[in-house]
Amino acid sequence: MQPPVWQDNRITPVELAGIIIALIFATGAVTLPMFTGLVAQHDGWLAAPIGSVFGALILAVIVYLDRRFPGQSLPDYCQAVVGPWLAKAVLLLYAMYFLHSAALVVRESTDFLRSGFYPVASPLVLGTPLLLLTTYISWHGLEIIGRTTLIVVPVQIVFTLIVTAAAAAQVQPQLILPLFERGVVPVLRASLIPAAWFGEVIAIAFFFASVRGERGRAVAAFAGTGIVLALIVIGGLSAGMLFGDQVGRLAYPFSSVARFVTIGGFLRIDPLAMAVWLFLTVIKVAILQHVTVMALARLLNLSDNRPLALPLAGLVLLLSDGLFSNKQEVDAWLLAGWPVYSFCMQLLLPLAIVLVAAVRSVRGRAKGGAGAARRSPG
Amino acid sequence: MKAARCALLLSLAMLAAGCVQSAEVNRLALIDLLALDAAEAGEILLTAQVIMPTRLGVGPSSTGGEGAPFFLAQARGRTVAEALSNLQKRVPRQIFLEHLQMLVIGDELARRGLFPLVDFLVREQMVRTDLLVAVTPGEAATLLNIASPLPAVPGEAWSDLVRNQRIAVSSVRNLFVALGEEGMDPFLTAIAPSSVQEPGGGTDLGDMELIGAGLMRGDRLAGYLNREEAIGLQLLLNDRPRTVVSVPADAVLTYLGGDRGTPGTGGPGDTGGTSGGAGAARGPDGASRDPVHPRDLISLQLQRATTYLAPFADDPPTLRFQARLITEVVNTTSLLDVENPEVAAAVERAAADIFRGFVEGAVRQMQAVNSDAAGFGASFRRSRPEWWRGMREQWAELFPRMQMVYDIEVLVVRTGLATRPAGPEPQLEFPGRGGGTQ
Repeated sequence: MQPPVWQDNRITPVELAGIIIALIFATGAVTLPMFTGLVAQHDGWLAAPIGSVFGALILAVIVYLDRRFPGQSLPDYCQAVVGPWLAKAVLLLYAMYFLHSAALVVRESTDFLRSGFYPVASPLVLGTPLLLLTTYISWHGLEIIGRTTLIVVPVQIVFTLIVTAAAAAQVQPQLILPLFERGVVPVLRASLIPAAWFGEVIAIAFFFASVRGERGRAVAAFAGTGIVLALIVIGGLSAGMLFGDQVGRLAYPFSSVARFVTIGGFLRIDPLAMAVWLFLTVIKVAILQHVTVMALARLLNLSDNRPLALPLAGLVLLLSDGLFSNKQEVDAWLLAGWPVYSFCMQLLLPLAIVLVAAVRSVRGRAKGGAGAARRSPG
Repeated sequence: MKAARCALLLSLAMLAAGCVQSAEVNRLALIDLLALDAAEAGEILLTAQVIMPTRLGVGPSSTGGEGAPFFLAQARGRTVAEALSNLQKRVPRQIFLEHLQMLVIGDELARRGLFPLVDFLVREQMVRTDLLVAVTPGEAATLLNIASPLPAVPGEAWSDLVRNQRIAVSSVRNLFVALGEEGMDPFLTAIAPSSVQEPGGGTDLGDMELIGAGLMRGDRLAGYLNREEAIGLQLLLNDRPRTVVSVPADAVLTYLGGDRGTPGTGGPGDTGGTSGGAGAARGPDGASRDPVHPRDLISLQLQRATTYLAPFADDPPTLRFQARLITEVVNTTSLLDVENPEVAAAVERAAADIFRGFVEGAVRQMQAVNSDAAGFGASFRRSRPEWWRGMREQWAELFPRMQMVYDIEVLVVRTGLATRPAGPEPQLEFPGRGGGTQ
């Protein structure tokens, strides 16, 4: 039987860009202005462009490794560079990191739903359908995630623009002036938080080689980051121009923007904000589940990673509820612990791989011989 | 297999739609107006206007027209949330604030401090950040008992009125932002009960009236602006209040270069170089009648306003207020030919004086109660951050001594659907082309 077209498990550069947008923007859209506002008040929106440099740096490392090891992804070249045992340790670290991230994202979205819409609902009731859906998508593999992205990401982009356009008539641009009122330091400190968000692009290192077109995927990765930066800045600006120094005192500033505006004077759009935000969360959780399963399957030498999908989903659901006892803990962790943790996993570890590869002069085979890495003589 | 998959996906969709915490419309107590007053022992008295949908004239069991379509429910508490919770124990339906149109705060409570209230409004998920917040000089609860003669749902009509007239519009967002903004104090829309008498000695139908704005210092009410001063405040905030100002003809004549048109001199018609004006202006009884009576008025409607407030000097702190106001002639009781460019220019200058008076009045009153509702301090903070850093502690003392430089330009861009005033033709003779001889 002819295998269906989606069975080759490769995605297009456009789908990669969509995945990057979902990875960064899913949770960043609603909560990011709050964190940056807490640290830098009305200058918070300036933190995102600085933080995005971090994301670009990580992308550069991924692209460099992709060029150095053509046709290979992080689990493959990691083994070639640091040896099988250390590679297993690295994979375990990443599996835990992505599992942790997925649990955190699910937790953030159930918290958002509970504080804004369903105050008495159990987090498990809200999380279960979300995880069933993401598990279904990630079970089918990368290509299905990519295609779903094509449907939901444009909706999210259009929706973000609609909300900001509807708010445009009422914004007070003077509320974000003067720039750098409390100096550059608070903005730099605040930029650590969006940096951790932009750093989530590290997940693509696990399937970067599965994106068609060597040049196209690098361009798409940077373009996706650029688009998401623009969206975050637009969202941050509209929240800043509506709420000024008080942005940090709102739990979900961009959702508050959506709650403030009406279209045509009567159409309320905040329930849509919730729905659309969840679309991206679905993609993000699916991707994180997918890479966790990939890392675990490689760790356990499984040829098929599908059997791991459902048990992992259960673990994500339980962790999302059990890791933190309340929203204050989630916020404190995202503000203080998360950037440091992320910095290690998103940049230090890949940089270490680059460094070791350079020192040991390990490089991948040239095209045609993809699949294994070799150690160059000397 | 395919059917099973479809069933799974469908059931997922059902789950995702979420019937968690459903709110059936027939189990809700829809509240459209809320009043908060100070009660004894630091408590808050909350009065809610609960809509009775069957009296709105909709639905099969409608009893439309039988009395007011709402009832009032009251409860007390030490915080707003506590009062609402107590209210829920008296109203046998689920209190629903998503349709809340306006919140009215009593004078005494507003003077006690509003930060706890703003915190509730921002924190509560049922309250929208564009909810209007108003203050009334008396007790807020009395306002809610007024069965307005016209609208079915008073809250909706009042919210529309405040938003359309824009005398002073304060929403939860404005309050919240101003409370956190350095160099700026909040303000509130001020409303009061008014009496509407049915013609021919009918019953007294009460209603509410926009009376201006309430000024706050920090989170406490400090004083009020009257309606004209509130228009001045809106102009300072670069908003566009809907208003009609009437320019007295004698003020226009002053700018035309003549004297104030005392009867018998023929008014500025003579000085303006036209001849025969005085003769033409004689009434049928032969008595001398001034063509332009000093008490005549030209009414202008404000169409658009673009204003700009910027620091001008540091010691004493001086700000420059620039405004460009686009107006249209909507009525004239004067025989001045409003189509004439010279007259129009004089009308513009006279109107600028009136608007300047509004703004000056607002500034004076704000300085008197030391409430920086227009954000003069914030304006310094944005334009001269270094200066502000040194002066932020002293701003409360500097503010009453603050000076203003005005640069107000009024443009009369249209004269409505008419051209010249609809007066007796021979008198339209001033100056130049208005029917007079040249």
